Amino acid sequence: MSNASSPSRPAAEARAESDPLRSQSAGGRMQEFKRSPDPWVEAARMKFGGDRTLASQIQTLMFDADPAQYPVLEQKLLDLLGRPDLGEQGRDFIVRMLALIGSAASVPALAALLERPETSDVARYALEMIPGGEADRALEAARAHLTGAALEGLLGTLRAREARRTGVLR
Amino acid sequence: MNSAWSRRSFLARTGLLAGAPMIVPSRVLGANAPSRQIAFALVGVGGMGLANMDRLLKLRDRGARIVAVCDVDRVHAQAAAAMAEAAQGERGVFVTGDFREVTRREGVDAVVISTPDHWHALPALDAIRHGKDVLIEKPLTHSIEEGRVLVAELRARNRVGQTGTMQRSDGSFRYVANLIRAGGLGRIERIEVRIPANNMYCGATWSPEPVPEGLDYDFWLGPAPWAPYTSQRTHYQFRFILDYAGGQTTNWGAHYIDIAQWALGMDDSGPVAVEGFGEFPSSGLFTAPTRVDFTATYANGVRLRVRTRTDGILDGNVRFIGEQGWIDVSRSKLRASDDALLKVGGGPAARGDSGVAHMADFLDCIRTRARPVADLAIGHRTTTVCNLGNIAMQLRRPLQWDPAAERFVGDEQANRLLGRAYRSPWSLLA
Repeated sequence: MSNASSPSRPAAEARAESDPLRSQSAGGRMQEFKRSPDPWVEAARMKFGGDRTLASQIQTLMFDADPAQYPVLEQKLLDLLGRPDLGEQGRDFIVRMLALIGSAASVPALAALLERPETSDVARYALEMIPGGEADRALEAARAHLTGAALEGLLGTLRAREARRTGVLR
Repeated sequence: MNSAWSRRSFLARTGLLAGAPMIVPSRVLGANAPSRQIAFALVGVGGMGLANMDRLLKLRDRGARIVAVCDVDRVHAQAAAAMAEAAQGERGVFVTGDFREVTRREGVDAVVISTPDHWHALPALDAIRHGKDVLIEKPLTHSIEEGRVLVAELRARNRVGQTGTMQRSDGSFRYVANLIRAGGLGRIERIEVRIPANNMYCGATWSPEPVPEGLDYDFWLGPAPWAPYTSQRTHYQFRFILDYAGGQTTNWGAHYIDIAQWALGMDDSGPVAVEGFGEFPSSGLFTAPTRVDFTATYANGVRLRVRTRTDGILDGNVRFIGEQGWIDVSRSKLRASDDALLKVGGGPAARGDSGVAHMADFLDCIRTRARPVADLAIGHRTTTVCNLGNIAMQLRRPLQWDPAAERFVGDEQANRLLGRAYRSPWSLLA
């Protein structure tokens, strides 16, 4: 072992005048260095044309996850759907992720989107792929609410689900 | 030109010929007479659509006649109609932006579909349901489910359907496929396919732009999820966005995987497993893989590896490696481990214009009702392999595929990628 003493930690006063963290406490400085965006929140806020790097990382999570992990991921996505700062592109992204891993647990939130003509399409992007009676019932119930193009889209989804069960896509 | 779009003003600008309307119902001329004219409509007349139009015009002496043109880009549609009228020397080509006005039109025998990939299935299905024969550009469909529905409808309605994989009508590719099928290399051990790298690029972000005059952008999006217009989304570059296409995996894979499927005798089947590790852009408008590398394994153990080439050449190639040597074919070269492999039975036929030959095969089959060389069912199975590759590269885990059931085995998430919900009001199933 060297007799030389360890270099001493520079005192706060020794920091350069230009250091923006000069006045921070040691703890505050560490917090600044560790600052990180929440990729889930950023994905929800994502705008068309914006950087989608963080959303891509979430998509990779969805692709890589073991099915046993889906419920946790699904709940995180559903939480995002309720955010007040949710954007159109963010919602589009979230429902696409639910199309990959969604279950009956997603149906109530998606059914609420399905009832509104302006969001019925994005709701179907997920609901069409979620197996089970809950999704069937939500889609059937929407027949009473939707009209025009949105109803035509809904009928297409019902036909597709039927074809996967018993028809040409079975 | 006969159109709801500023027909008179366009005619005035272009000074097109006056003359008798050109649509003559083909049934009055005798069903199979070689002189009988076959009335074609073109849906999608951008780059590939114009290439197909040129092929049809070269077959005028065999009875091909263009009677209608459709494109959601009015500029494309009107320019294509003017070209057809000039070449055919008569006016009256019907012009529209709505495919249903040609797929349901009296006097149209066949529809040639050269739209972006996400718009292949719907006009083709509508044409088939209204008694037309169809040629559909490759890749046959955007999703595997679309292909299944398309083939089922084709058979149920007894229509003729050709996939635009014109390498099936090329002498060298046919020679190689026949050689392999005849056992010319002995047992095949593996197949190596190389496809070009992406030839268009984009940055990490993009900005919405105003929709150009004349482009019906909502119709262009069609069944795909809504997204704002930006110029790199539509013409040509659409192929690098997974909402509309499958990247070079399906663009070039549809040609070269097709030769592998043909040579292996897998035109009505496919691999049983697939695994891949591609690279996808993490940001930006483009979402299709920038590097493709997947391997499909067939039940007999043959492994087909598909990779992006790195030498900048905008062509693919397919190399068959067997117990008695190898043979490698592309659009420009035919090579083998032994020259004798290139001379079996006198060697390959001379290479001509395979695009015209392919269209001629379709024209002949419309008359004879025979199945064309790249029947839609064949195109579907080839496109399926391409899509399996993209799915495997996204999921990055080994997948088992049941080619009879056309479903993944034991992977529910992978099965959810076989199709998708359409944006309203569009529906795959009638």
